[in-house]
Amino acid sequence: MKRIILFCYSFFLFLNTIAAQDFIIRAEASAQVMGVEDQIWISYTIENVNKIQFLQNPQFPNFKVVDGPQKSRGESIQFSGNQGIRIPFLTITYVIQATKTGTFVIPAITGKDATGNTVQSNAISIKVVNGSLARQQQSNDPWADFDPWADMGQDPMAAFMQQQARLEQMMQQMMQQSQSPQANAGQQLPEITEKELGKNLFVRVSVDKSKAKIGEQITATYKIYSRLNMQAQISKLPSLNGFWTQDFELAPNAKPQLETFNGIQYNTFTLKKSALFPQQKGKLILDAAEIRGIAQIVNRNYPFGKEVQFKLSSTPQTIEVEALPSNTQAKGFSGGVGQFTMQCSIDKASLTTDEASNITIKITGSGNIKLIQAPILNLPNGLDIFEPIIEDSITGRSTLISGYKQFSYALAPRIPGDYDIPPIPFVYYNLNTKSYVTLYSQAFKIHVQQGKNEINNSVQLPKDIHDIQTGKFLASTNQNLWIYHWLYWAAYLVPIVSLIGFYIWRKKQLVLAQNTSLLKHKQANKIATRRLKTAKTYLDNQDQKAFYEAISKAIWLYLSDKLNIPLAQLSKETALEVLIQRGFSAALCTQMLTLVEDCAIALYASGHAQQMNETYFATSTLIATLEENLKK
Amino acid sequence: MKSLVMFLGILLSAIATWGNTAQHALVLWQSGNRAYQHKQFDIAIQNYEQALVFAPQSASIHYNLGNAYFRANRLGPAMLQYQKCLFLAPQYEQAKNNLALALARIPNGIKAIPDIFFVRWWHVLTQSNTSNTWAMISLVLFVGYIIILWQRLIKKKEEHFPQAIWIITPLLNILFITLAYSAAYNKSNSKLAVVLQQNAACTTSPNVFQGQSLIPEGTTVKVAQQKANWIYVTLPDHKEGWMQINVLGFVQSTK
Repeated sequence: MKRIILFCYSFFLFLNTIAAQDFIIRAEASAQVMGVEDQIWISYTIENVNKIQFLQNPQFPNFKVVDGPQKSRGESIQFSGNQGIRIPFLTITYVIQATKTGTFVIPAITGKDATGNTVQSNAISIKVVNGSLARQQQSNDPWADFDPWADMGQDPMAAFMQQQARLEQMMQQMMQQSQSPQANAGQQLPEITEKELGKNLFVRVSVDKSKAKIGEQITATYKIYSRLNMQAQISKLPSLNGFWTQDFELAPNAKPQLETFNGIQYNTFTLKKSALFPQQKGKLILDAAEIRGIAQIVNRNYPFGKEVQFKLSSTPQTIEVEALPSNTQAKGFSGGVGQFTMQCSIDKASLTTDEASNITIKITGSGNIKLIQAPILNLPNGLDIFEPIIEDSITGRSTLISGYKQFSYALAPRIPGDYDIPPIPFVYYNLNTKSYVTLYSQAFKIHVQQGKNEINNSVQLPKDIHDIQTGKFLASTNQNLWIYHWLYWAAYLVPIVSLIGFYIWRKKQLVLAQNTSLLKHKQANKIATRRLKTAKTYLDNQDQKAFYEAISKAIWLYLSDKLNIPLAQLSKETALEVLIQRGFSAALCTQMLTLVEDCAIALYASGHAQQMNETYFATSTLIATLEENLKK
Repeated sequence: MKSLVMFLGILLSAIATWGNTAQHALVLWQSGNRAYQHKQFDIAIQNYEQALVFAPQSASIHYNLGNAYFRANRLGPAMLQYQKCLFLAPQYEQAKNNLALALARIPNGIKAIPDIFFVRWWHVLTQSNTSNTWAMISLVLFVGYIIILWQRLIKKKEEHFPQAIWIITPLLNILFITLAYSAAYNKSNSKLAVVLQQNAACTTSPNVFQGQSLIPEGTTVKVAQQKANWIYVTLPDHKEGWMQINVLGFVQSTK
């Protein structure tokens, strides 16, 4: 509630600044005296806010900010006689609470405009008392029994003229009032209803046509018609659902214009002038614009005029919207309705695979230009396209909305080669000819060379696919997976089993080998005796060579078996060594050596036949002696 | 050793049995080939599709069917057939080339982002055709291990082998078996699917059509999980989302 009150209150300030060209900062507090528990509003109102470049943030020493800053923008329109000014303003509001009691000053803030002029607001002094102050008393209403139209009489025009004459006087009064803002704080003006104002003050919306096609421009104008001295502010702009709107620019300091409506002359002021483009078919309603303000009423009872508050809204206006015809030409319709031309250009027609080229399509004309959708490009394979960058601008706002919309497509070639880009179509609905129009761009040729970027083209693709496979075909290419087959896992057992097998076999072999040497030991004498027998036959036959061979063999093999020395390692020395180890006498050893040497001499140096008998007996004795001693 | 050689021989000589169905497939395949050569790709497609009923495991038919779809300008099914062919025969070079070409033809195709190097290496090592190699290596290594063990146990030659061998060899063995299993899994399971509809929706959660991106036909996606008629997929650029089951063609037809 407080906020609204404050908002209303700020109206009064404008009265002081009708002739102001520069911006003004005004600081206001909702109370000069406050309890420490109370909250008050501090608002900074900046008029002609569009001129400001810099605004200092306010400081509240000894206060804490409870809420804010709340910003509200608006525009106040001030009429006084033939003068009408639109003043854009910005109100920044803080809710503050004191932290202790006493009298404090909220310092002024400064703002700068573009030329560097500094404007300072007023400082506010606030007294903070203990506890909470009760609600401010309602101001007495001096005009409680006011009858606004009692004196309007038959000729409202006369009253109007009268009122104009008294304007200066009025203004001065108002100015004096606002010099002391406290007096005005919380002041409520009597409200007046729309009916009572009647033909003297109203808001009206006028349209240039009440029937339109989807996308066709309708110009709607919201105007205040007044025969009173008043100031007003737009409190609600129409939302205009179902339309895409583009506002016309209004002259910033437009003077009210005289207009005759229903035979009565009015001062009119344009609130809003918009180009409306319906977006759906059916009955669309231009909803009401609402204004609030204060009007000066002069009558017999109040010759100096009397202020009343009013709130007005326009009568909603219905627009009938037809759909666009749907026929075969509508294929690829861009959504554009109006009159357009297309320009199309490419910035680079010869490039490498590292670069990108831009195709720019510019649609220029009048109509619902911002609703045009991006044309679709049919590109050959090998060219990549990115989402278009869209730029639009409304250049003309006189009677028809005109401007341009530009689509920039970036093309990135992947594969070198020559590409043809077919003409790009753009379909719109022409309102004059009442038909769809298709515009075509020119066709483009792009030459693409291999760039340095090798990642893109590391795989050189063949020009075309390989031909089909003919002849025999494999019905199943199933490869057996060993890992799933039990045989594979069985194969692991093979080395394990063979390891164990080897191990066992080896053990057995060792045992067996031991047994063999025992056997040999036992059989050595037998074998030796057998060999000696053979030697005996050779002796009888006087075959010297064979005899010595047999003797030699008999001795060596006997020694090998008996002493468990492998034949390969057997020599005179090794045999002697083992014999001594076993404790044989030196005589026996010498005898063995002599025998072996005799055999060798007999074998390799012939002509010692006479000793054959001796040798035979010596060998027999030797073997017999060894046998006796080596028996285990 | 002998037993191993014998075992390998048995495996290699395992031949698929040819029956009546193969004969049907052969006839259909030949008429498909004729139609293809006469540029009647629609007829060729029909023939090949029927041939696949009789010989669904034939890489050749999949390859030819892929070509027929390609020629008929149906990139999605073409991609799917090439993928199926390569699933059955990973070394089919022509199919690989044609697949790459088809991929390049996809307008506004999603650019594949390569995996991190070790993932890539793992994929190379576990390609479906490597399973038996790994199994073989693993077996040979095991035999070697046993031989060393034999040397040590029986011949008692310790000085030649460092102690670490007793740990490293079994670990390597486990690695090779894992690779073999992984590759075998890849051989018998394919997670790939191909988008068969132009601008198929890929959404952030199933049954929701908001926040969707449009996936061009022919994009190969990796399938993760299924919720009713929605499949959670990974796109070639590693983005993830849900796609409807009816826009996807699975390389391995559902069991």
